[in-house]
Amino acid sequence: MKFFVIFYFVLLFKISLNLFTKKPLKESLLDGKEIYNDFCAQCHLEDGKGVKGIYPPLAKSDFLVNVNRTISSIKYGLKGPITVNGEKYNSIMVSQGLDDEEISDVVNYILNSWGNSTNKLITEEIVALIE
Amino acid sequence: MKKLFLTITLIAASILSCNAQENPPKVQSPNKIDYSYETIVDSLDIPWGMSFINENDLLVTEKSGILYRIKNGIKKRVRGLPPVYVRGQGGLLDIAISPNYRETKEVYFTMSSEIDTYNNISLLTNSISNESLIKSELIDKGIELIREEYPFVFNETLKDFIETFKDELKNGSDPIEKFQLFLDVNYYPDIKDENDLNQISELNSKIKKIEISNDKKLYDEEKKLKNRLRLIQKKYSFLPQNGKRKAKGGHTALYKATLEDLEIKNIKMIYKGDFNTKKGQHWGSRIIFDDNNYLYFTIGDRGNRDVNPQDISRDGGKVYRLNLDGSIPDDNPFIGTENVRKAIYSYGHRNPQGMVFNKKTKKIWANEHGPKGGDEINIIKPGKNYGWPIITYGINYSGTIITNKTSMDGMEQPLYYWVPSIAPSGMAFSTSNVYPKWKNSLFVGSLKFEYLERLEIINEKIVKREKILESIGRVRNVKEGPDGYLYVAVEGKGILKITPN
Repeated sequence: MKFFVIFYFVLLFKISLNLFTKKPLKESLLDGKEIYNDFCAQCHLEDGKGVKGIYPPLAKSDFLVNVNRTISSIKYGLKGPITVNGEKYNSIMVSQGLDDEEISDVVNYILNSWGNSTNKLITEEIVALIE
Repeated sequence: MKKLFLTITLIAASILSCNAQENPPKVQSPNKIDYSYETIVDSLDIPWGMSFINENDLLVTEKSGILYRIKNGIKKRVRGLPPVYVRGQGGLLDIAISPNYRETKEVYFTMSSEIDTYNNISLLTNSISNESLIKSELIDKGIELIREEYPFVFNETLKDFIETFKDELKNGSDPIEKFQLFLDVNYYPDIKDENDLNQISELNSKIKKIEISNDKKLYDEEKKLKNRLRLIQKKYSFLPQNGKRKAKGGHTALYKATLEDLEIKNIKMIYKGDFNTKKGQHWGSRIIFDDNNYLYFTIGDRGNRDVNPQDISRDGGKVYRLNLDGSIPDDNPFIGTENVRKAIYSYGHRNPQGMVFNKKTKKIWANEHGPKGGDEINIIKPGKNYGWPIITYGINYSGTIITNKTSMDGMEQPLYYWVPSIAPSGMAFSTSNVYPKWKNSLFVGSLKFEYLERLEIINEKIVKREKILESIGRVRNVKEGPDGYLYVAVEGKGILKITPN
């Protein structure tokens, strides 16, 4: 009996998880990779290493610690001096016109590639709220 | 004998390997720099197109979707542009005043647009008279006028419009004026929720205020307002007829409009590429005129190189030719062919971002971004195929091979190709006597190496290449002004005028 109760709750939990997770990370990463190679890799390169002094790195980049700023710079663009991993950059990244879902996918991909890792899943809704 | 053979082999090998490395003539730095520059417009991010009304009156587009008019050194924003789809390499692109500007005040511009013309056109094939519209001569006349003015309008939009304005139309109101009003408040025709409608009109009026204010500090605020607008409109991104999602993405559109001081009016879309795609690459685009008043403009392959450039029933990877009113000239090369886009003038292009009419030879010169080692200069001839991606001198940026062929029967050879690629954008001849040593030279902007390239030409052959304004920044455009000076658009800087010492 006890087993069935536990089983019941586990099942319930699983179902509710499916109901509330709109897009699983695995799918988001795949879509994010496509977006990345289409819109970002030209400058930041496929391995996310960038070009020292010109295009800041995304691989193991300390800029990404502030996820909201990361999302906002993809959404609205970024201009002016920044320091990434101790190196100074002063250039323009214009907004690429991605929609909120695409931004969530590409941020998930960036935050989980080339040695980066995070336990936070970025969703379309999170991106929509960032101004 | 053996020695001779070895020497020949060695020489041949070295020539071959040289060819693979760099295509002559090698680019040089000038021996003596007897020119400098002055900044005539500052603080521009990506100045894409520029067109001189006269030497003290200049129009400049910002890729992000802003049009500036710089009169006697004062930069002001022009309002009234249709919605720009800023995505990847796309946005507000080129601008050119009409050859008849003095009489008509007409301008042409290209931009990325997400208006779904393909679905619009299919809807138009259902004759509107079969639908249960209110019968009235004035309304019928109004519809006719609107269709003339807006050839790509949705039937659904028209129906909604007539529902809303039937009384005004019957009373003889100007249908175009009313329709413009309808579009202003109701860009997405299927929005019915009152709360959303109010928010949209509130956001739109705030955005308009910022546009009029000319205050650059408010542009970030404007982006945020536009984002909120998008969020509301997104809820309605489904076709009202069948609930299918409206085709996503965009394509390059060519517009004609009149410029009245700081406002764009009488906007008419005269060409739009199909089919919309979410790809971010290769929108083109340049607009030029020849001396017979034909308009030429370019669209890149839209990131679909294996389909678009060689298929003349689709847009992308083409140079187009139109009459000034947007109609298709009777002698366009594919006019008698069935199932083609009849505005096409030449095809097989990758991404042409520089084009100029050579007044001396009366020929059209264009440059295009190729793959790695495949940037080209071409002389554009009617109906010709420039080969992309069947033939090219370039390889993929990842190093993989696209094709082994550099030439083929029925395909044009470039006048010149750059190895290494310079990422060419913008193109102009120096025809004036302002720079005596540069007369008849061709100038091309290099995005990649951040200089302006001067190419000396003898009998349509490049004999010398020189770096002008080294390390100036990403050069997006170059134009010869009405005063004969060269004007250079540099990303992150602005517009520079080259002055001889």
